[in-house]
Amino acid sequence: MKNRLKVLRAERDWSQADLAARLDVSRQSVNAIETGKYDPSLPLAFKIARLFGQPIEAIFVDD
Amino acid sequence: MPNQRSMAIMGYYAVALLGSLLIWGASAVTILRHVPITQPSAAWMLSAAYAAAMAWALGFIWLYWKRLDEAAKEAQKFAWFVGSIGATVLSAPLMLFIRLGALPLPHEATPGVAFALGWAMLWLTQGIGFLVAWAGWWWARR
Repeated sequence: MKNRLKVLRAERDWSQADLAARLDVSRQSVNAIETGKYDPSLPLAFKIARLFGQPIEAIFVDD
Repeated sequence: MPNQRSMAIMGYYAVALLGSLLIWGASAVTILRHVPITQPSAAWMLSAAYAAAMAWALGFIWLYWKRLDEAAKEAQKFAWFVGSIGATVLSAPLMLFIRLGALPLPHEATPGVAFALGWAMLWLTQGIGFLVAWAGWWWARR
């Protein structure tokens, strides 16, 4: 699944580690999500959406 | 570079793995050095050492699991399913290879000792399979 996580993170000048700390996940998990190699669960997707103040469908795009 | 959170989590895993290996390995070497494998008591001692090693691992693995994020838990599930089962399947031809004389087997051991050693060897085999599959899961998502 494609997503805009990297763009949203860059807009805030956050590193992957910064985002990982805010989401309480590992940096490796953030990297896997950003590259589209791991799809987060609904609870984590909602957490990401809340963090960036956007709806889930504005961040994650179905292939 | 792993962050502090990842290092702490991996620390629990390392303590669980290395501690259990140390408990089992040191106990097994000590027992097999001092108690003849023809004695039924050797089997009891080996089984007790194995149980102690597993109890140690269980405590730290529980702490480790509680702190894992969801992707890391997925990696664990995949690794235990694919890696451990794969290693168990691969251990069959390996066992045949050993039976053909590749390694000396303790033929004079009691069935209990043979069982206790086989039990630990299967755990070790599954552990190796797990590590390979776990590393592969993360490598594919780097």
